[in-house]
Amino acid sequence: MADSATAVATAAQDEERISVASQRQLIWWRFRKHKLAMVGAIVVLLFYLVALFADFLSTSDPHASEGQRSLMPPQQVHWFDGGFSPHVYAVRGERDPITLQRTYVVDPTQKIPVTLFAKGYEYEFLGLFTTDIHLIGTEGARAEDTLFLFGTDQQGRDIFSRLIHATRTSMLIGLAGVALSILLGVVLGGISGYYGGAADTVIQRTIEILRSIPTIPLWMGLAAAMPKDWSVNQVYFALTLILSVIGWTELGRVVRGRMMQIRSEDFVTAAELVGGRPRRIIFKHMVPLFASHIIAATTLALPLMIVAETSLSFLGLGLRPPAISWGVMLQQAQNVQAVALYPWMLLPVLPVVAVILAFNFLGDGLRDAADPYDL
Amino acid sequence: MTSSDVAVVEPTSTPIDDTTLLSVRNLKTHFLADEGTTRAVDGVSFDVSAGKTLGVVGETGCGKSITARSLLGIVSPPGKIIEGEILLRRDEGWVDLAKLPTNGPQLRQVRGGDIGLVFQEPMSSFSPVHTIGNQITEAVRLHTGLPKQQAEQRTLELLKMVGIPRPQGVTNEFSWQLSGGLRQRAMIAMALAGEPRLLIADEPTTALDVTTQAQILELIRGLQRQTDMAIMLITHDLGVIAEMADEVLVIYLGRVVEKGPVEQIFAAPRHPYTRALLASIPGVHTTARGTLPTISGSIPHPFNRPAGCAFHTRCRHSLMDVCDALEPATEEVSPGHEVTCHLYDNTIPGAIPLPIVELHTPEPVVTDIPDRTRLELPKLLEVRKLTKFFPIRGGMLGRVRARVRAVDEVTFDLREGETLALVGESGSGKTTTARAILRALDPDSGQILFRKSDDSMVDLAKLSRKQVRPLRSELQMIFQDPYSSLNPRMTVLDIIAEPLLVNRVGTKSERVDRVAELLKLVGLRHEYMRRFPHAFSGGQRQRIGIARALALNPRLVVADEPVSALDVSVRAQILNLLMELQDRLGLTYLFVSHDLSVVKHISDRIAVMYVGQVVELGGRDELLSNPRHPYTSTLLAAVPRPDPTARMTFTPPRGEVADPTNPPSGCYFHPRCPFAVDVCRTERPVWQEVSPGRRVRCHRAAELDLPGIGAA
Repeated sequence: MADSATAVATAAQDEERISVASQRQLIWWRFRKHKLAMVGAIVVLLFYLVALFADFLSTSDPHASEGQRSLMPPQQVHWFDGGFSPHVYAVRGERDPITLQRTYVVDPTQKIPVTLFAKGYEYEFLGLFTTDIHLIGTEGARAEDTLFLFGTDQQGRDIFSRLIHATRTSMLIGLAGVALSILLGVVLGGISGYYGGAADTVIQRTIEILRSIPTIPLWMGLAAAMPKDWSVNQVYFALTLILSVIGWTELGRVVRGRMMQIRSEDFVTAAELVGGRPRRIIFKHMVPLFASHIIAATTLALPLMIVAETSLSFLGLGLRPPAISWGVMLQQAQNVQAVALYPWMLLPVLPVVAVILAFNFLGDGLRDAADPYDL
Repeated sequence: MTSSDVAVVEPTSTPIDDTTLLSVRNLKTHFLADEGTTRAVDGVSFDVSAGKTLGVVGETGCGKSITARSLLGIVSPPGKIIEGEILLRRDEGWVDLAKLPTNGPQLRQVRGGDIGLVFQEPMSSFSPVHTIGNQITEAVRLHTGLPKQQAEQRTLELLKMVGIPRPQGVTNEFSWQLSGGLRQRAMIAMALAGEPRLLIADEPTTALDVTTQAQILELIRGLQRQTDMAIMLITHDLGVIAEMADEVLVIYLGRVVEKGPVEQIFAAPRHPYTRALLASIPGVHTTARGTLPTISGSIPHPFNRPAGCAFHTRCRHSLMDVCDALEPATEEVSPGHEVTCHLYDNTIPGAIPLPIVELHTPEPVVTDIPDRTRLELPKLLEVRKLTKFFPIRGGMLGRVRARVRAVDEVTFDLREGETLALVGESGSGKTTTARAILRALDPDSGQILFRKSDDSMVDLAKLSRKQVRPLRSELQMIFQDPYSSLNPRMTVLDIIAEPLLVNRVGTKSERVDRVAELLKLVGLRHEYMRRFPHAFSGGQRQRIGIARALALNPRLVVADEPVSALDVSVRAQILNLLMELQDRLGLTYLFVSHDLSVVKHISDRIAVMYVGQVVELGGRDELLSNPRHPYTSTLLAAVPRPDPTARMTFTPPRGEVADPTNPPSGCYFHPRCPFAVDVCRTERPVWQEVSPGRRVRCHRAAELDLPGIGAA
């Protein structure tokens, strides 16, 4: 009897909890149930943490090339040597007398210790202060004896460090473009859907014209038209901004549709009937209703930007060396030799796949959780 | 059709009599979800006999539709029949449908073959990309195996059978090209394709207008006479039940609470739920504008079914420690009339059966209710020749191809403190009129003279949207759909305080106090303030909407079908609240409704609209008992009354409501009017005053003597 009484009490508490739950809380509760989306969210978060602490996580300067260490395979870390003491073996470069191919011979007698918070190259930590502390490293070793966890490229640059820096570039360079797309999409789509009539016609025709422009030729043309004295990163940033002028069209249409649908809801009429002005009605009553859809659209637009960067850089149209991005790194692996002899050059494929999947799972989860009328 | 492969079973327990076609015993359909089991149907038993109609009635969420879907094995997952028998008589013997695999060929033979199904929404029951003819022919071929040509022939016969005027043409049309009534007829034709012996009609007329509803009910009745099929009619409308059913099943939260012959159910209802349902219908036996008896609260979600008798939480007669603890047993109170209630269990001390009251005996007339029509009240609103046409654009340049004459020179007055009802079928322009008066729409022409609180008159139609804004607080609206009218992202506090905030009334704490006061006024607890709309039932949401409308102390409240989305019991609560508020706050109502029984209950005067025009206007009692326009009389006759002894005797008008883009010449009603003469076809009737306060738009208003309904 007491049990059932407490059961009733908790049921009542539960009900009260749900009754006063805001839309955001309901979305969060539902999102939490979506396992795959949670995993996606965590992976995306990790990638952005990596981007934020890129220098701290790198083991060596991503731009520093080491002639003696060209195309070296990944080094294996050994954890124990009597006690726990992580180390790598020194490597000696040799040239095969017959094929003239460069090979690396491990010398197990020379151990190079790997330490936490080792001193390495100098960098500015988040633009706050200058330091030379890195998460792991081989302190005091010769340049050619530093750690090459994922091997090196033709110029003998550390792929692991480059990959981390590429993560920063690839994950951040699309953000501004996506943000601009969303701003344009919400404002223009909102006007189109709320006011209708002539504004709607003009905006919709504009969308149709913009959507009919083929992207890659446009991209090539724009890339050629950029001022010559801009750095590659600046050029690319400008390109993403220009492309977002086309990219907003899809969101613009979605927002217009939602706007028209919500426009006919009675609570909007009710807000008008109490004397509410259009600005208040749009931003207080209508936009919050599809804010979650905008978030979902963003999470689905970001991977598109990342893939676009990767594929365009791969084609040589996007970023170019000395910039480091996943696409730039893959461009260097653009030959059969790489696949056959230096497979570690293809490692940048893994983060691309992982982050795109994670973003898509996250976006799906958000979209499912954001539907307010299905509890 | 081979049916020998169907497993034949012997009815287990009680024997079944010879006329029984379908016998459902202890059916339980549960929805098994992670959060727990929802017992949507929980032990329902009933029989259906050939040539008879079983009416199934109950509030929304009672499990009526799930019961019907269970019979055909089309309950959507995670729903599942977990117990019980569904015995269907076939040529070879009894078949238990509950035991058949839901995707098997045997059940497919039964669906559409032995049992036909008609849904509420005929629009979504037809595929929009196939013609009506193709879809019906396909059903015919599936169930009869006829070759294509004969099947097409049969399709034409079926369409003719359901009274479709030019079947040849309809076969080549798509569902979206037909009107609601024709669509429902086509749906019935398709259900008849397999020559079913049982027709399940799930709210077949709920989405239709009263005159169309009368036509469809008449059709179903005629078909039953012709084919001797059994009908299971599911509806929440007790009027339809009284009109159609032979036997009635009253369901509450997945269980049958009362079952019996229709006369018994309506004349001598036993279960407190049945009695409360019947009592809460407005306009039948109640005094006009008197307080309606209601059922307190609203139906709980079946997931939280109360212990003992599920109805005890809302029951006025519930016994302490009995009804809330023990499951009631089913007692037979008279032959064929069973009730599941502790009050009729003579083993329980204190259980006194409810006296059988004649629900039809009118209550003593309460005389202290003033007849507002007689009072010389000052005019609050004068609507003069209000017109609103909606253009239909098309073609490359968006030229106007046609105009929908939504509101066509509407003229009426509204006096301070009275309720004027705007009545009409869908497309009559009543909602557009209401919204134009509030300037939610901009009228094309005409005047809307409103007397401001300082007694000066202002023409709302002439003001710009900005100029209307300061007047907004005096004119407010209550909406039809309690779901669409509240912003799901805002708390109740924010929703009700919105009008105050927008008009900069009071400080924050004053606004909170005002919201608490308003919540109390509409009968909600002020603790609910922090909740979001999703935590409330339809009735409670409607109360929140009313509180919002009252926040600024309006003088005119436009109520647009405020109760039509609600269940009968909740409807009575809201009507009572509206009338109480009017008396307390001196509100003036413009009440838009298609439901004459509601209008009869709440209004002082009635304006009847047809295709954008007001065709008749007058005091409630006069207009209802002595209609002067044939359309008013038709509307009145088409309303099914919750009295099985007074079944409809009239022939419903032919045809459909006229097309407002291209109305007929002369009087818009003449193609459907039984009294139309030559002048009606050529000349537009004038808006003439036939007696003081009584206006009609009919050429023959003076000579016709039309039947009405008894005054309240």
